[in-house]
Amino acid sequence: MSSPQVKSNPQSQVKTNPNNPNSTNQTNPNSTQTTQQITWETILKSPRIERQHVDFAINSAEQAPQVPVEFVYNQLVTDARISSPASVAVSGTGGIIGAILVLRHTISLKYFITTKEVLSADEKSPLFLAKYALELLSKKYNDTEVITIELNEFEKIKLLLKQGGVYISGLPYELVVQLSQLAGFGRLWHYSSMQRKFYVF
Amino acid sequence: MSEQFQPEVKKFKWLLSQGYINPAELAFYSNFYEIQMTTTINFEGNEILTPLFILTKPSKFDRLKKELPQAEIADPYSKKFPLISLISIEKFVNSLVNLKIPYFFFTLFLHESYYNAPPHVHALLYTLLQLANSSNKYVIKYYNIKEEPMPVSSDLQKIVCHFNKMLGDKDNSCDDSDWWKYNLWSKSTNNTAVDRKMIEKIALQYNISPICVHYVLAYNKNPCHLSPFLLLQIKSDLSSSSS
Repeated sequence: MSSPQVKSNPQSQVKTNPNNPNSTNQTNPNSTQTTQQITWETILKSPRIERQHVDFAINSAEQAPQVPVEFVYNQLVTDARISSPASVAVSGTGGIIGAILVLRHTISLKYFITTKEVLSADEKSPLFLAKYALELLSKKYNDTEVITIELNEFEKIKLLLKQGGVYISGLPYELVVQLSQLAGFGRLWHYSSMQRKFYVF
Repeated sequence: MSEQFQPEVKKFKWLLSQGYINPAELAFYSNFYEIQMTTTINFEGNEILTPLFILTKPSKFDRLKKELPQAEIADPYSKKFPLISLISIEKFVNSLVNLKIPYFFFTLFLHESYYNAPPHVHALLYTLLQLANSSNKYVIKYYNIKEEPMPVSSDLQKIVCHFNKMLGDKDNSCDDSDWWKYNLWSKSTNNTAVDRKMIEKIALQYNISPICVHYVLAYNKNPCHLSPFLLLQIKSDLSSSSS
């Protein structure tokens, strides 16, 4: 696993996102890593994802480590093919790092999926970091469409599945249930920060 | 359905074959993906539609799995009925008459390992298939099952009775008590399984063809137009000799 190192600015002690001038000095005051050098290694080990992690991860997405992928049903279904993700959910803090890591497994990225709650999140909301990451990602991958999804939008789910795999971590549980009900084997990607691997269902 | 949904279609077929979902649930998912359950395979020179149940002796399962790699052994206890199922006659009959088979459209193929099956086995299968196909619940295409008349006084009638009741014929007063205690192969417990010596003895006694006696005793049929008196006499002789 590669662990690209990115040097922080010793003057500011905070990494900033050159693509996002608004992100300067927006460090979480509770951050414990402002004085540490942020690397992919530290992000993967960090129990809490903060804005500077997101900045770094998106800026160095191309250098992100290749996280292992495990097909959950490989004992049962031997002829399933894993579909590379064409849609990536960016909708909950827990799924953001996986959403960036999974970009290395995409062949043709079509959609960022999110929810209306994320799009309307204010800075105090726990969903704000997802909104922030989504804004950065949609700027960086500007030909990727951002779509929202709500409960019972089955036609939308079909549309997503039609394109290929779907990275689902961070989506509300009820939506994950509906997606997984309709998805075939090898379609759904989940990132486990504990195991540091992707599970494909 | 477009190839883009092949993983979905495969998943739902697999879930059905493993018993995780039932045909009603599959019908729900078919609303999304138009899942066609039927495909054709070539088996013993025939183009056969799946789901396919191959009725075969368990001793032939391994050989058939080599011949047809997609075939799997069905397990009614765990509700596992693969799309190409290898199953014994008894397990198939029990699953069918208890409405446990998760398909409404399927094919039944009697394998050559059962070709020496006595007429009453064909009769039972044939009668059950006719009932199923006339019930508006099933469409079952079958191979190698001969049309034979069902023995009148037989434990097998209880199976037919049970299937009738399971299909919704609640008014039927037929007897299906202990229907599962049938024995397809042992002649000793089956009234219709009259041994050859007995048939020959009666045929000689009344100077008629053994075939005529066989039909009377096994199927309660009278193709030789024996007199009613003679018919009663033959049945009486049989009951006195077997008691």
